[in-house]
Amino acid sequence: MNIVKNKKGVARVIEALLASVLLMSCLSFIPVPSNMKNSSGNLVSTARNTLLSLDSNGHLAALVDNGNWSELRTCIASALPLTAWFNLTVFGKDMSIINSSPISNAGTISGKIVSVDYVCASQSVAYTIYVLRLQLSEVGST
Amino acid sequence: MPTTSIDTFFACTIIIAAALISTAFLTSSLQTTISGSQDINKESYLNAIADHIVTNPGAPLNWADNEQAPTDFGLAANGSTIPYEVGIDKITMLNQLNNYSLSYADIATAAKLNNIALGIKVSQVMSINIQQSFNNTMGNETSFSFEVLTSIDSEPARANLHCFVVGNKYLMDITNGTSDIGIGQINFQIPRAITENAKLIVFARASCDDRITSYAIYNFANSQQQPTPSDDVLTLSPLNYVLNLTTNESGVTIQGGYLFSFGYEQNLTYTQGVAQNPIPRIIDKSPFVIIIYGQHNATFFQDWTAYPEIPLKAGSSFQGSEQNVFSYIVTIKDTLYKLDISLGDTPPK
Repeated sequence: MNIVKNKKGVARVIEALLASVLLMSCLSFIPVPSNMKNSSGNLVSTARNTLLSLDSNGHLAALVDNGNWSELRTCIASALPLTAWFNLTVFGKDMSIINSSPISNAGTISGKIVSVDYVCASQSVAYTIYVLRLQLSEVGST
Repeated sequence: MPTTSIDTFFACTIIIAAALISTAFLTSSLQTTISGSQDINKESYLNAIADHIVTNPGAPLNWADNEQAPTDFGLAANGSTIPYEVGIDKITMLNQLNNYSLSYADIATAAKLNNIALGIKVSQVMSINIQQSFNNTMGNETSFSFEVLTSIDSEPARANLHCFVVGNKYLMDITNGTSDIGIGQINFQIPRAITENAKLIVFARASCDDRITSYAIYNFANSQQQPTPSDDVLTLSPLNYVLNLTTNESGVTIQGGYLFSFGYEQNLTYTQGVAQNPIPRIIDKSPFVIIIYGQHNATFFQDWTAYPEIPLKAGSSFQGSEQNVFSYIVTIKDTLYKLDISLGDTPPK
């Protein structure tokens, strides 16, 4: 009789342990917030400001017209902070990639990449339409 | 006590301990999530405030025209079709060196920011560093060599240079450029007599965009670059294309002045005894440098200012408090500048 009672007691302990393991494993499903200081909104604002300010007199479109990719890279880099990683892709109106060489700066990306599309028109008689896609992220230690 | 009771008690203890640990973990996890989302919301609304300041002209729309504090703070140029164009006089009125500058109280009241500190910094996109590398005097002439370094965000930048040497009624200009590594050389000879009070004005225009044009001043008197104007004899306050002069000493006689930009140089018309003199509206994608010269107790002097009066810092210093910086590239008088709006907690008292 005592042996049966003892077995019941052990079974309760095993049940409790299993319940605890179940409870703890449920906690692993709760998402742990990582680096909640997400500045993607700020990056979008920066990207938009950069493209609008630089192209306010049609300067970016003129550089694309001339295929002057290195100047375009310098121009974008000069307007962005050192802590920003960028990649610019130039599309034609049929969304084919026009830039023959990458327009980007080096650096390790930390955080998420935001992308802003900007439509600009050439100031020349041809009035060519371009779509500039500026991808922006923060560089630095993760 | 029966063994079953002990086991049951032990099992209950395990369950309660697991529940307590779970609750503690859940609380800390939720707390981090809540404060994280508050940070996102805070950054988002501070960003919206900064955007509002940069893209709205404020009230009255041309508040700098009246040389008075606005009722609603905004820096955008009124009626401009250029995105992110900022009013030249609205920016100039933020410089504490200008006689018509706004106080921090004026800015904070007009911005209607309660318990949020505001700071504004405007700087040139391209930095210029001037270093004297050689000088030699022979007879009445002194030869100088200067190394000029141009950079954008500490990265060397290729630029075209237009330099002016201005002394006691003496003026000469030199053109050159900096290489891909941002280094250029300028050489010139000037009369020995003017070397003590002469100034070298360097304008640099980036090869990638002619709107990126900056200036720097080198003072021969102390052989140093002069980042901000000195107001020893005169305080020069440009506003609304009018130069307001205030003499800080007695025995000052103003003889004339010059206005420089990257592409132009012009004599300023100065009427003796008149405190306000017009600034010519030269069309050039460049800041203006204004030099006024004269005699102070029979000694030659020349004071300078820039229009717009940049670089400048206005508002809170954010010492010991949180600071969120929002950077913009803005256009002021067809030239690009960097504008940083800082928002955050008010500094602890």
